[in-house]
Amino acid sequence: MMGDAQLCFETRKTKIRIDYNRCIPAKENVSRPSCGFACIKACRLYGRNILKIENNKPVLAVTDEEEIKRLDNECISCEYNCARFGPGCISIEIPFG
Amino acid sequence: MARLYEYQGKEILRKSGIAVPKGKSASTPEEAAGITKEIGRPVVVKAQIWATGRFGAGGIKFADTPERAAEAAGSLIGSEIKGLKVERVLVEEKIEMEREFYLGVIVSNSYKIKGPVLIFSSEGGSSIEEVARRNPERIGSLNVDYLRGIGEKDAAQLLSGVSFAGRGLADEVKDELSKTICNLYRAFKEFDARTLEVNPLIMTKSQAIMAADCHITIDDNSVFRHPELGIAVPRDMDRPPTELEKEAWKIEEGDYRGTGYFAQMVPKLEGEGWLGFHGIGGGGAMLGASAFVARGLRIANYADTSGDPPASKIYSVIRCILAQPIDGYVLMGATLANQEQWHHAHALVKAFKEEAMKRPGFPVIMLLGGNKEKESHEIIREGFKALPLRWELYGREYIYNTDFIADRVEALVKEYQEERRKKEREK
Repeated sequence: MMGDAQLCFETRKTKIRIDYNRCIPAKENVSRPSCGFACIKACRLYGRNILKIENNKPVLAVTDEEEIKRLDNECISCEYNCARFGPGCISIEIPFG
Repeated sequence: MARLYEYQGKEILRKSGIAVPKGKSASTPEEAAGITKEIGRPVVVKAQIWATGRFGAGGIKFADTPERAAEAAGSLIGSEIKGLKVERVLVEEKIEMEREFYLGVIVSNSYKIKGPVLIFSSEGGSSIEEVARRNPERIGSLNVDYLRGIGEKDAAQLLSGVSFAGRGLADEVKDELSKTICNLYRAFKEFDARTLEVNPLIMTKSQAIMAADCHITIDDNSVFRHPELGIAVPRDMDRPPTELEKEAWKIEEGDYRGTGYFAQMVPKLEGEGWLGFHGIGGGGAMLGASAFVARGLRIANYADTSGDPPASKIYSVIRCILAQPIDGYVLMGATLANQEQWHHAHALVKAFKEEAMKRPGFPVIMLLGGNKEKESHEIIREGFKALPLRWELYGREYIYNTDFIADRVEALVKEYQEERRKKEREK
């Protein structure tokens, strides 16, 4: 699901939200943001390239819902990297209990 | 392996054509009385627990009337036998027996066999291991070709190789035993069992063959094929799963990406000094666990996240560990080769970031060695640096130095407990 304010999608066991209102590249529309697109770098290094950069913001590289569930390895590293190098605008929900 | 109760096992035997005493399970004394009335004869009331030696432990009682059966059931239901809580009893007709045998099928892991082995003993009622030591001639076994199965001829051959200690059997009884052996093997295969033992298999005074007791375990990986068995958590346990273990099973169920194992050591944690234990792989984790136990620390659970699970699964297992009333968390992650440890690093940071404020000063001791160890340690150091926890991180050089890790765990847990007591006093 993609709106102006956020990107929200589900993997097999997680729900990932990127808040564009707080995302530095999305908010400032800059190609070299201070966070260095940390979420995309994390997705490339630890994940399965589910995210890509489009119009200076992180978007889904794979749009089919079932394909995301099949492909994603739930590395949850985008949340960590965004908090470490950016504003912490990614939240991952992993239901338990 | 998932265990079944005797009453469940007997239902399987009955469906497979093996005679069992008339009876039903009950969860109240009233039900037990009703069943006894229905049977119309003296009964045996048997506690349904996953333990052997129930008779000696007071878990089997006899009753001649429905009232007595209700009394017996009332004394058993809710009681603890061999540390296990009795929730149900099996009420069945009392059988007058003439002789006792043993019959079982197990899956042999021996590299020479790797398949089902049928075992028959002319002496039942006692431990098969004991008979094997004392009178090995009374035991016969048959390796079964899984694709071919067995027929009555094979069963007869198995019986012919067994000594009946000078008490030969009538041909009709032998035929009946052969049929029972074939039916037992059929039940074993149909229900994907790992072990199916009937001890004793009895010959009644009227020379009928009947299963007086039974012990069945089902292959964990086949449980999904048998929803009728109602197995909540398909794991090898000596007691029913706790609520937390049921929750933890949801992490693993249907998700074959690595292991996310979680089991509690005791169903209820009482007192303090419990340690949440998280291992990766077996060896190093076991070394650590031994060192902790040697120092008097009590391990609340055993968790394992090996086989390269995703970070989401590791995170959920950590949440399960932290859902217990523990005084410390320890990770013994000594896997060196088969997984990149940065997924553990991300999971640890996420779980403890969410938890840290709820339990300031909580001890977290992490030994994480393996592929991408350096990068994983950097992720953890960075992620933990602002958290109000007592955390320490060690690498591969400490895998065999578990005494040192145990010393640190002991020290941090002690500090945490003292700090907590002090805060409680100040309140």
